[in-house]
Amino acid sequence: MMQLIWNGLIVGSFYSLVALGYSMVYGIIKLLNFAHGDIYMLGAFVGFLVLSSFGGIPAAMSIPALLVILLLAMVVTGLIGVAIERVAYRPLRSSPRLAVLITAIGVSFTLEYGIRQLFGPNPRAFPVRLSSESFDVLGMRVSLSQLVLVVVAAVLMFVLAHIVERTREGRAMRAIALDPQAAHLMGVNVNRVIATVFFIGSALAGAAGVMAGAYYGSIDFLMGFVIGLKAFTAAVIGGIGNLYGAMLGGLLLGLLESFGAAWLGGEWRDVFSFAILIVILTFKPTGLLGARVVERM
Amino acid sequence: MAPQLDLALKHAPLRAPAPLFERGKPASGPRSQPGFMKLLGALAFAFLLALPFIDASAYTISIATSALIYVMLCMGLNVVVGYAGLLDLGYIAFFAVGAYVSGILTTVLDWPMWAAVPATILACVLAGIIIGGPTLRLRSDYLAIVTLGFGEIIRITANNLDVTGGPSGIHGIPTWSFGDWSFRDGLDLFGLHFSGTVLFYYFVAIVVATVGIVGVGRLARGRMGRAWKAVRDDEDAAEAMGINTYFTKISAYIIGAVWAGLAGQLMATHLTAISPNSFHFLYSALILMAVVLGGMGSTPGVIIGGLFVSLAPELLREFAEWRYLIFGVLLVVVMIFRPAGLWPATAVLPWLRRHKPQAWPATAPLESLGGDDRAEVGPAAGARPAPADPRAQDPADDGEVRR
Amino acid sequence: MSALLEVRDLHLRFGGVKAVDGLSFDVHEGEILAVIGPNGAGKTSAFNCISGFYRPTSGTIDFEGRSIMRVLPSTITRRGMARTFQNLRLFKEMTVLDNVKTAMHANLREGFFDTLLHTPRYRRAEEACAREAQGWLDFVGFEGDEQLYVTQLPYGEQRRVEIARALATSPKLLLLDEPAAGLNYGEKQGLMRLIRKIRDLGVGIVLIEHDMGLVMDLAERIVVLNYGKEIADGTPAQIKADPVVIEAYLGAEDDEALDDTTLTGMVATVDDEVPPSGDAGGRSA
Ligand SMILES: Nc1ncnc2c1ncn2[C@@H]1O[C@H](COP(=O)(O)OP(=O)(O)O)[C@@H](O)[C@H]1O
Ligand SMILES: [Mg+2]
Repeated sequence: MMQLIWNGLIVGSFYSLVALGYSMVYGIIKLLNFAHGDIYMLGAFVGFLVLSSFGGIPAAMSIPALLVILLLAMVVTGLIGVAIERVAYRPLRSSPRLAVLITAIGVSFTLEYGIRQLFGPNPRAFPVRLSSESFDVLGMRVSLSQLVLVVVAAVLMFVLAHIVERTREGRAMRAIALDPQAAHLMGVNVNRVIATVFFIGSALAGAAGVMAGAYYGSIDFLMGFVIGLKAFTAAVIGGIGNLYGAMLGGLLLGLLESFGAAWLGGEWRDVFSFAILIVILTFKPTGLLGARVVERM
Repeated sequence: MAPQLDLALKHAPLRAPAPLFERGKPASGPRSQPGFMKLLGALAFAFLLALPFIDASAYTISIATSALIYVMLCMGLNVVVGYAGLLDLGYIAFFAVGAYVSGILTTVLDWPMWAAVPATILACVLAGIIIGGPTLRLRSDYLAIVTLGFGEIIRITANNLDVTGGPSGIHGIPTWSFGDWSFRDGLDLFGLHFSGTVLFYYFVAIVVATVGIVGVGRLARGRMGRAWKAVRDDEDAAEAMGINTYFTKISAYIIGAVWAGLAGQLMATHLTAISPNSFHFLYSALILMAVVLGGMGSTPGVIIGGLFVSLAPELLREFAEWRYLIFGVLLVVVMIFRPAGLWPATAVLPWLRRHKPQAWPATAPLESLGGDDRAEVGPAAGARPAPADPRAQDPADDGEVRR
Repeated sequence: MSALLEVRDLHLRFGGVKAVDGLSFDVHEGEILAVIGPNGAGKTSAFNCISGFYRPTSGTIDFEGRSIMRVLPSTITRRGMARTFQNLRLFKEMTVLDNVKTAMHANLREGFFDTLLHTPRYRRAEEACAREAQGWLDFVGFEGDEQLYVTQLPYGEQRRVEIARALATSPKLLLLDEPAAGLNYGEKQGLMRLIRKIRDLGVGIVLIEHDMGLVMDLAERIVVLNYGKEIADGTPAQIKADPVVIEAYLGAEDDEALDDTTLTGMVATVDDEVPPSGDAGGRSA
């Protein structure tokens, strides 16, 4: 029981990190960035590339090394996110929604199959073994590295919340989310803020990718597909566009899935979460913390 | 107005005054847009019929058959995405429903294939209602991701259940048979022998051409098609025109589902075996690419897109390896630089005679406009000189005058 | 004779904003009623409530004696109320003729299988549809090429097509949201004649308009909104002389009598609305 909760929380924190980017981008430009899950995959591959170029890393060093690589991967994926926005989404900002969605799918395919061409179709072993030292707390088996993952995720989310709530940049983001035209008139540099949002969102997804690589030990070019869907589900559960909603939704989805899989069998795990998605969208499309969206006519 | 035309209207508290003058019939003949498209269609169909006489190798017939099935799928998705503007990312799920329903009925219950057709249609209508019912009330982008989730649900379910044969799927799906005779027996006609595969190819060609292409084309030009396009262009305005946008979207969704289901049934027969792997998200994306690259809402564009997506990997082996990467890049590039696709729905072929509007006759009863309204309205007024009488114009110019 | 449309004590609130704050009026068959008020006064919001796009916070709306609260906009249109939009909302990827034909959707006897099989019923329906649509286009004085895509038309012509499209739904009541916005003087004169012509068909008309000259000329009765509140309801002459209206428009310090041209000039300068965003999606009802 407690073990299910703990496992759910770990997976849930990955979902939260990816969901945050989804939700931020949606909040600010109303774009469902289908390629967001693939940024997570890119993060894992950046980590993989760096780690394998170092050769082996002693187990004692694995956690500090991982943190360094995490930062590196965040910067790289953040920049990739900015580049994607610049090249693929910005030219279409005033196009119909359908066109932008289709472009996002194109970007997703480009990233997935670009990586496939580079690294091949088969899964790669992530070249860092986390030490499996563990201890029992409240009837849960908790390993030190799992604890580190959850703490890192929590720190990242805390920093993000600080940025959005307390800084100038954050205020500009919220202004654009409310009304891009008015924000522009008020002197907010809309393009720059959108780029910042893409940077932050992508960096968080990249971080989640590295952490997931270390946690599961194996990565492949399609690993972002399902998590993209899950992260969207998480964002919707929490209320898309709402940051705390995305965090909450991720954790909740992780827990629900953990219990659902234990109850129905692991092969139904994904069916279970997509069914949750459909049910939520049907009965409460604004999610738990989402505001009611009023559109202008 | 002729009284029989009144029968076409349900109620008439307010009727339009008769047009000020009779317009000529829209242009027809091979040099007009519709006439030219008909001609092109007839030529393409003739080529389809002639293909087995040109090359009857099993390989050619097989890839031609699957290419046609792809075209059927694309025509169905074109209704959903191209006409109704609903992004469906789990479209292949309906293909799976059609394939599995007909596969199970014909192998487990030993039904003949034709008897499985109504069951397939029914299953797809139901699936369309179950999925579309709750989700079509949502915003368009939510719909996209929900359909994606639904596609995965269907695939994983097929993978996990026993009736569907689990991961290995269903084998030994029979071909079409009528009583004792089946396509497999072949047919001798006019001294020519048609093998089972060729017969099935012809069957597919005829179904796809008539139901898939002509059927969708007709629906798109009729009352329902106008409602689809209205909903796509502006949902609020469509609602303000008395169109129930929710039912309109569901109708497009169901038509798309039925088309995919029929294509799935054809594919199950063609391959004789199906497995969950054939219904991966990739195929949903592939069909979407065909529709987008060809031109959303454009029948010739979508056919070309479907043929390209299905034949390119066969014809260019090198390409097969790289195709998804190339398609991904193409999607982005097309959306940025040519969002209407290769053959846009609004394309007017340059060498065809352009439709010419008939000028207002000077004798048109201006009083009915409440005075000389048009003298003051700016650009339109005086833009065209009005001849004395439309009937006096060169008939070759505008086609004949009606009645 | 009872009123065609009866609005009683309508309220609509968006969060803290009281967009409509107590609005009541009647419209009769063949009557032209104008709703005026500064930008942001809640005129469009009131239209959106009446035509079913927004759900009012409170109040009642009866059309031909039946309530149309919580009724779908499409159903309201089928019952005989048509509207145009402040920001032209034509179907951009359809031709002029198809735009108008689309509005006959609910009135056409043409089933799914008729279309699929091209039955005689289909041919009859399409012929009637094309003829009616052409009739309305001629009625509104559209002289352009009906086979063009609407985006190829000049702005003034698009306005005409939008009115033809609303008429093709066969309405008893027509709501026009700033139909003269963006038209030049000559075009406005044409529009006034057209509106009278529609009224002469027996259609009731509710008109939102900023051009005071046009309103005073055309309307039989005027309702004035300010900050969502109804501040006056009367004939043009009564409205012109109403001190509350004058104050609302010109501010308390200016006691000059209300003059058409001043008003026109004043309001025209603030007449800019946020254009519709790229997506046509989501209803806000
Ligand atoms: N969808 C909406 N969400 C929030 N506020 C709205 C919405 N529509 C209108 N409003 C507000 O309601 C008020 C009235 O607007 P509107 O009806 O458009 O005025 P008018 O048509 O008289 O210019 C304005 O303050 C406007 O900002
Ligand atoms: Mg307004």
